[in-house]
Amino acid sequence: MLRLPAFRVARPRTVDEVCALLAEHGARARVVAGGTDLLPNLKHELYDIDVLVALSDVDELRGVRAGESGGLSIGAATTLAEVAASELVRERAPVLAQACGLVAGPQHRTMGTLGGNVMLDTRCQWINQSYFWRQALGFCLKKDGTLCHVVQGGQKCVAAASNDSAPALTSLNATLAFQSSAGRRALPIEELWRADGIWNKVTGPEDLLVSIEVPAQVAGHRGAYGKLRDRGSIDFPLLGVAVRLDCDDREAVVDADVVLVALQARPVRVKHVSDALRGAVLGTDAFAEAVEEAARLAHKQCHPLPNIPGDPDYRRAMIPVYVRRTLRAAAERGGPVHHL
Amino acid sequence: VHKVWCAHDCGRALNPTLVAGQIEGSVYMGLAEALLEDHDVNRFGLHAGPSLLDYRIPTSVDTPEIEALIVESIDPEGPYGAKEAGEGPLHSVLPALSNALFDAVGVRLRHLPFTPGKVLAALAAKREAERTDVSSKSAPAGSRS
Repeated sequence: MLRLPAFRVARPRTVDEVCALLAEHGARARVVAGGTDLLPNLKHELYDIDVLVALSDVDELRGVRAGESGGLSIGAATTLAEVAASELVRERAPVLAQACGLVAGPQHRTMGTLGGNVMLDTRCQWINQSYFWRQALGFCLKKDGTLCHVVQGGQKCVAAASNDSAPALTSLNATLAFQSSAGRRALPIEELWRADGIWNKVTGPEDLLVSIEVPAQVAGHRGAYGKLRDRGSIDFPLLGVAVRLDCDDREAVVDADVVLVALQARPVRVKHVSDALRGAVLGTDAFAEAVEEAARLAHKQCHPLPNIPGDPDYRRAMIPVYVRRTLRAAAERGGPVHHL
Repeated sequence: VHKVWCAHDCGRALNPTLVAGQIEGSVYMGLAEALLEDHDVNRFGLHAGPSLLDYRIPTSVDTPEIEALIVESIDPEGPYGAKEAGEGPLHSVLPALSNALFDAVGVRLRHLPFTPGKVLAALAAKREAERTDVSSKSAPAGSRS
């Protein structure tokens, strides 16, 4: 049986109180909302902490609100189940509702929060294991060790971003509101990520994610999410594909975005997708060809590593398949793309 | 896998409901072995799927409809004419799935579990073998002189 280490639990009631606690304890504190990922990681002794700062009593962190001029403002501690079921999110940001609806299993989504998923730690088959197991191989770069077992001789941790919400929010050009004792700041999600699996974000232990701001999308916005995993539930993605198609009133693509996750330490935006799809009218042969081109671009640019479980060759072969299917689903206002 | 039919000769079915339950449970276990559960040991000699997250058992959504068919044949040597309904129905699932795969895409996998990645690799190997076979046959006659 894996036991939790000893720690103290603080139950602040306001964001200011949370930030004061984080400022006081620094890296020796972690916030806990749903705890669906944090608690297993604590049992695996991945974090050395003294204090868990519980967000359950901080009411101002919860809820989905209609933002000004058609956007969304989602409190960081809103559960994934609430986001997935929200009519407002389904209407204004279908890709986000679909991605949240495919995170883990129903029980996890009832406990787990959107903010928790955005701030999810990277994952790797060599790190998300018990202390005993990790000790047997001499640990690894991400925690307690000096070697990488994915890229032998590698000096940089390549643990994979595995959060379904990250590519969805990146495709929507969301902004994240962080607060610390030094004040509040807004960070475009694209600028959150670093290509370092040890900690793949630019924020520090003193920063609290307060809300996720999704800007208003164009009238002809379409989005869909595709997720590859071994089972129809529970599992982290072997590949996640978020798609945005912005169309004009003739249903011609004006702008497009394809963002993938579960490849490397940060979500990957496929380059030149917008150029490939721009001008193509949905449902035409030109659109079908443009979708093929987008799938080719993704396959060319993305190279899965043996960081997460699952055959990397198979994961790479599935990239064009899922990009193609998810783009088609978005065009038909369908999705999510999933094998069950 | 959309549906599994499993017929099992259990001798006399002393409690047909329990026998059907045994068959369903065995089919579930067999499917899990055939498709998901992997006892792989990594290069450090450690189990590659040591937890219930990495060792993938089928959830309720991964388990298809199962039709349990009881075949009664009275065994004069068995208790009240019964045989067994424990492990027997499990074994039939693995060859059935192997055959279904062969029937669908023409490759024969020899190692469990039959994952999509292994099927894809076997298909690529088959295509490669056919290509080299064709190119050696189509080499011009007398080219070896």
